[in-house]
Amino acid sequence: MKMNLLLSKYKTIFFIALFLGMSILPEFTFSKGSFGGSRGGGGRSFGGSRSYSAPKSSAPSPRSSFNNPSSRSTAPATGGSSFGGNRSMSSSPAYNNHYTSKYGAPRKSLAPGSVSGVRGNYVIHQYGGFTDGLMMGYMMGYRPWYWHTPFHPAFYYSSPTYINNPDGTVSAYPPTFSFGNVILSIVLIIALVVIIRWVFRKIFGRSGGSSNYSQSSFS
Amino acid sequence: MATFSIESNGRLEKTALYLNGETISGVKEVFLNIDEDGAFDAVIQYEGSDKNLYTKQIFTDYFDKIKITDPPFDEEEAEQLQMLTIESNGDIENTQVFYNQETLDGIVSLFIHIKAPNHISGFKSLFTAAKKVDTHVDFKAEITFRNEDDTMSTESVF
Repeated sequence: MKMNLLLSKYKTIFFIALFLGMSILPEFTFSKGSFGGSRGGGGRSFGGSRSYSAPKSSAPSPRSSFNNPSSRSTAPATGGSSFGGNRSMSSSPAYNNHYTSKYGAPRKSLAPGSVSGVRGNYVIHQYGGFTDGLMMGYMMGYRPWYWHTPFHPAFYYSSPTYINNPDGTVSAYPPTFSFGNVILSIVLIIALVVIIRWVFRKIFGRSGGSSNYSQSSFS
Repeated sequence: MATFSIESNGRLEKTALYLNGETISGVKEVFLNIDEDGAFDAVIQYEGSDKNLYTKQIFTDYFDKIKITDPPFDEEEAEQLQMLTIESNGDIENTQVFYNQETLDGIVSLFIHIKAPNHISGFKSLFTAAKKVDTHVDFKAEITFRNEDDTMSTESVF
């Protein structure tokens, strides 16, 4: 029993020592390469050694693409480095890929300036069908009032999606079908029908005929 | 003794009920089945002022929360209508029937059933299909008389 207690005590001390060893001692001892080792301790950076006199401030800060709290949503990107700052979603290839994977490969991509009436640096990705025409309408600034009513299919589509490319051009993807608008329209139409029915009942009486019970004891 | 009168032209839209001279409203159904053999059913169902439905015996019960209104017909209109009045205390022996102020005698049976159509009012009605609403109107009012030659004849009241 006593032995067990003693063993567990030593085990704890051993683990604490191991932890300290892993976190502090490598600064001085385990330097073998740029990663994981220490600077100036006579360790090797892929062979050879570097003097300890190198200024500490010139060392690259330990930035990583992972677990970096400043990434994506906070500080703006600083020029010159891929590291640090936040990631511009619209210019990222992954974001573009997201759209290309969503739409598939475009049937035709129109280079900037190839479409008359479309100003700006737009690369228009066409996939065929109704949404192409809709997108061209949007891009030419043509958006009549009836597109905003549920009686036109354009009402059920979103605006085109614009994505900034790293080369300064803007990719335009066709509008997507919006189920939210469909549901909203159905709700509005039902509400309209209910209101019309209510008005008719108020005008023509409860049975839709000409019954008027104002002179009756019955109701 | 209570007095119950029905003034009508045979159509529900022009049917007024009077209880002891006062016009009542909110009535859903009236059922009178009185015969000389002793049957005496006189029931009324109405919606009270508290929106609850009440079912009462016409000649014996107190009418809780009955809605009283002004007489719906003027004199000119009333001339076009028939008035049936029953005065009773709930006993066939003490029951008198008047038709346009004239006493009727020789009655074998009196049967009246007037039922207003059900309808759903308010917000709920907007979501109820018209077909589901019972729009059937019951309006039956007959009196069977025993004639002097002992034959029976049934006449419609209104």
